[in-house]
Formats: sequence, structure tokens, C-alpha cells
Amino acid sequence: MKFGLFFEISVPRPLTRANEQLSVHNTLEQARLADELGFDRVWVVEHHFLEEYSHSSAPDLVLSAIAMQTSRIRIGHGAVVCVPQINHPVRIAERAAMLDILSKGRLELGTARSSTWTEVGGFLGVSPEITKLSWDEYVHAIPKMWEDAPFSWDGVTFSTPERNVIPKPYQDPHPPMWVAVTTPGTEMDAAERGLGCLGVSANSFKAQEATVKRYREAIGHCKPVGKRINSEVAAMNFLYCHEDGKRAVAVGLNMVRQFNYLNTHQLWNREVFPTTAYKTLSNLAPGKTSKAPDDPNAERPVAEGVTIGDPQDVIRAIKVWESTGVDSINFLINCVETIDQQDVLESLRLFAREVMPAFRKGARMEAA
Amino acid sequence: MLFGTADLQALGRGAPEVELQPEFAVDLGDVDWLQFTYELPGDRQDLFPSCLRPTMPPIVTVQLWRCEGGELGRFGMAQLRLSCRAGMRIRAFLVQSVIDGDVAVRVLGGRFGYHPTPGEVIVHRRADRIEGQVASGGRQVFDASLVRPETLASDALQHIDNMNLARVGDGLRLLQVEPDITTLGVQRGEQRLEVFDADFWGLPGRKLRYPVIAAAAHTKIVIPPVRYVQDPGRRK
Repeated sequence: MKFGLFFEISVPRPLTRANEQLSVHNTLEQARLADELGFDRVWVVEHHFLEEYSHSSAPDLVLSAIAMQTSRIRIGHGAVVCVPQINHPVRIAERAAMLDILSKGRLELGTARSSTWTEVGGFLGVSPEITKLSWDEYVHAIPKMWEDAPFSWDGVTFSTPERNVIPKPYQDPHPPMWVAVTTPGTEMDAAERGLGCLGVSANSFKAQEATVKRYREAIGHCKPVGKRINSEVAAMNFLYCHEDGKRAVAVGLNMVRQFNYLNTHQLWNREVFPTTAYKTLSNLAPGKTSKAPDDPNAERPVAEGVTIGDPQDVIRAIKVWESTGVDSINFLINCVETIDQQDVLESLRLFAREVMPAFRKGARMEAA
Repeated sequence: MLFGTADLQALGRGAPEVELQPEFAVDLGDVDWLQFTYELPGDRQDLFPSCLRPTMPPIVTVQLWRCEGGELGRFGMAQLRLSCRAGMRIRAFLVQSVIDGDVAVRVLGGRFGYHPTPGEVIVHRRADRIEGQVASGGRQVFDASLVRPETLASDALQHIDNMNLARVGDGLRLLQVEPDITTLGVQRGEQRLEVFDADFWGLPGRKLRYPVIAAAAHTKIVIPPVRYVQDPGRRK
């Protein structure tokens, strides 16, 4: 089982420059510690205009800083929004290759198409109807940009005459590629193309098991978009670990609650724009709908398997996730600075000391 | 998170009086459904009571219904709503509505908190467009068209439930109104706006600068009993 951190770079109100700077620098410090403690990956998301929820609009720059401050942790650029008005595919290939060089071959590239109207509508001219098509063209074209010299593309959502897209990545043939999976069915899009399944929504155990099963069956028959198949399934979870289980739950669930509220306040594409291109109102927030549907203020119960508690609680939860077949878990470790930075760092140290050894040999035992 | 900051008493001045009946439902029959969607520039918090949270950006929907074959007979209704969240739920806050049938005014206003502003609501389907017009007090207050309609699967349309501010007994309450809408066919197209009277619709000084999309549908609508009533001043 591999462990990663998943950074949204959320910022508490008031949205002052000082608060933004605090969140960014706390992120960098958490990534440095994760590298020292033996975590496997850090992911930095790409979002635009999502006040409070995510100020991570330039993830490649944040990841460059992380790459320069770390030595072994892998650098997850993801998920990059594969929509022409937001990112031209050539720019994605260029930036990703440079990040791979800067990090000496530690890059992983996640891909996505954006679920919110706040983002898609913010870049005027984007129709939610075409984002699946542009994503599909991008994931086929980007590996070719890395491999071919010259590269050319005559497509529907973008075209490029013959050019040599440079630099080429450090990893040969190219970095692993992933797809952010929010809604059921996207895992099949990933599998059919030989792409890793980057879970960014909290599933129930049963749903996760079914997702993994479908993905594993399909990837055996994939037509890979590049020369490297990534068959890994990653799940998303929250993490707060403390020796005192009651304190862990009180602090950790407050973070989950904050995240859930912010998440459900996003303006989803399907809420605004009639389309079948987005099957559901995407929702990262875990938890089932309240049993009291007439009360909008009823809080969702915390989803099963949330990795919050003392080390033994967290080990038990991860064991169940492991049994569903997932290969890795990426953790959200704070939200709008709800948890004090020192407590976040201590939670990571405790996790590395008490939890990691239960899942693999050789994890670093000492916090920096 | 942002909360509404509107003055509740000012907001409630035009609120209809509602007599809640726990079992009361109404079948509106076949409904020709037309909606125009815009982003609303400017501050959004001052448009909502403090228990609701505006979305980013705020979205305005002007929705027109032409109903027939139901319990209220033939009538039309137009409503302007603002996207929001009530707790963790996706909702739309009703700002103004127009109803053009006496029975419908009594029922939709008196039981569900729609504004019973009298007027005339027209939905006109043509070969290349679907027109929607609303008049009230002898003047046109809304005129827009869905142009170049393209047909979509019926599940392309996401219906959002209302939060209607009403006077219940001696206090203001938000009624959660959840029309049960069976969508039989959906069309989507660009929208052309000819007339929008911002003062009439409760958005003085605002302009609908950023069009999103227009949609039309053939539907059947039943409004079930109100299941939830909320104190509009309660922030959670």
C-alpha cells in the first residue's frame, strides 16, 4: 500500500493575501515532511476561481517548489484540466516534461476535465459538452508529444502542425499517467486507455470494491495511449491521527465537516448546463445523503472507513481499504487551516511512526 | 463560506401568506417548461436571507411554465430564482413570480409560497426558436428566446428545488418546495434576451450580462406537500 498527500490549497476567510500565503507555505512544509517521513506521493490539484475551497490554480509552480525541496517523494501533477481554453495540450506536455526533469524523474501526470461551472464558465467559450472529447484527445496526444519528434495532430478540439515539443521528459518512455475519477464509469475510461485510476471521491467500501473489479477486468484488454501502462488504483481519504482517539475524532471530523460544506457549495456543471456529458452532480464530499431528506441542514454522516482516529483506528480503516483492492491512498490532511499546522505535522509523524510499518517494510520511523 | 446578508423584513415585505396543510399536493398536468440561465455580476450576499448561501458565481434562472390538464386547469407561471445552498443541499431561492390564473394564484401562492403577482406568461414554440414572454401591470417585463434548439436525452436536465419565502402564521419562513418533474423531452439552445425589467424581478440595478444557456422541456409536474419549513434567519 502506498500513501500520498492530496493538496487542494484551501484558504480560510477572510481571503487576505496573508491567509493565501500561509496556506501555500504550510503546504510546502507538509510536503517536505512527507518526503522525509516516507510518504510516496504528493498531489497538487488544479482549480480555478474556487474561492476558499482551492486556490491551487498554478499547481506546476507549487510542484516545482516541492520538487526542489524534496529528494524522493513522487510529484503528482493532477489533475490537469484537459480543456483547450484552460490548458493547451502542448503547454501541458511542456510543463510536465520540465517538471519531470527538475524532479529527476518523479513526475506523475493526472488528467481531468473540470466538474464546476465556476471553472468551465469562467473561461468563456467552453461548453461542458466537449470536455470529455478534449480530455480524450489530450490523453492520446500528450504521450506522442513526449515521444515523437516532430509531433503533429489534426483533431477536433485542437490541431498542431509539425513541431518538436520540447523538452522531453526525464522518465523513459514517459511519466505515468492517471485520470481523476469522480463519477462511476470514469474508471472504465481510465482502464480502456491504460491510465491509472486516481480516485478523488470518497466511496463506500462496496462501491470501491466494485470500481476496482471493473477497472482490473478492463485494463487487461486496454489500448494504451502511451508506451507505459499505469494499472494502479488510488483512493482518496481524510487523515488525522492522534494518540488520543477522541481528540482525533473531534479535530479530524471538524476538518471533514468543513471540507464537505465547501465541496457542496461548488456550482456543478450539470446544475447550470443541461447535458449528459456529466452524469451526476460531481461530489467529492464523502457520506451518504441524510436519512431526513426534508431537512437540508441535516449533516451527512461520516462515511465508513475515514482514516481519522488513533493509530490502531487508522490501521483498521486502511486494512479494509486494502481489502477492496486499492493500491494507494491519498490523504487530505487539512481544510481551510481548520487544524493547526503543528498538529497536522504531528499527525503525519505519528502516521509514519505507527501506521506505515503495518503496511510495508522499510518505512522511515523517525520524524525529522 | 458566504452567508446571505439581506434585511429579512425588507425581503419579506412582498412575501405571500401561506396556510400550510401537511397533506396538500397538486397535480399541474402537462407543463411546457422553458428556462433561461444567466450569471449575475456583483455582490450576491445581499440577495439572500442569512440561512442561505449564494453560489459562486450567483446564477439567475427565469423559468416559465405553461400548464394544462391538471387540477388547476390552464395557467402560466414565471419565476426568477437565484442559485444557492440550504445547508448542504442545492436549492434555488425564489425572488419573484408571476401567475396568470385565478385558481393557480390561490393555490400556488396560498399553499406553496409562490408570489401571486398577476400577469401573463407566454411560451411559444416555433420551428427555429422557443419564445418566452412575461407581462405584468400592462408592460412587458421579460422577453427572451431559445434559438437553434438541439434535442437532448431527457436525463440531461437537472431540476433544482425551490426555497420560497412566505409568511406562515405570524412569522417569515422559507418553504422547501420540491416539484416532482417528469421530463419527457429536452431541448437546449443559445438564448436571446430582448427585455428584462430588473426592478420588477427584484434585482434593481442588476443586468443579466453573462448568458449561460436556455433549455426547454415537455414535462409533467406534481407539487407534493411541503416537507420542510426553515427559519430564514437561522444561520447554520
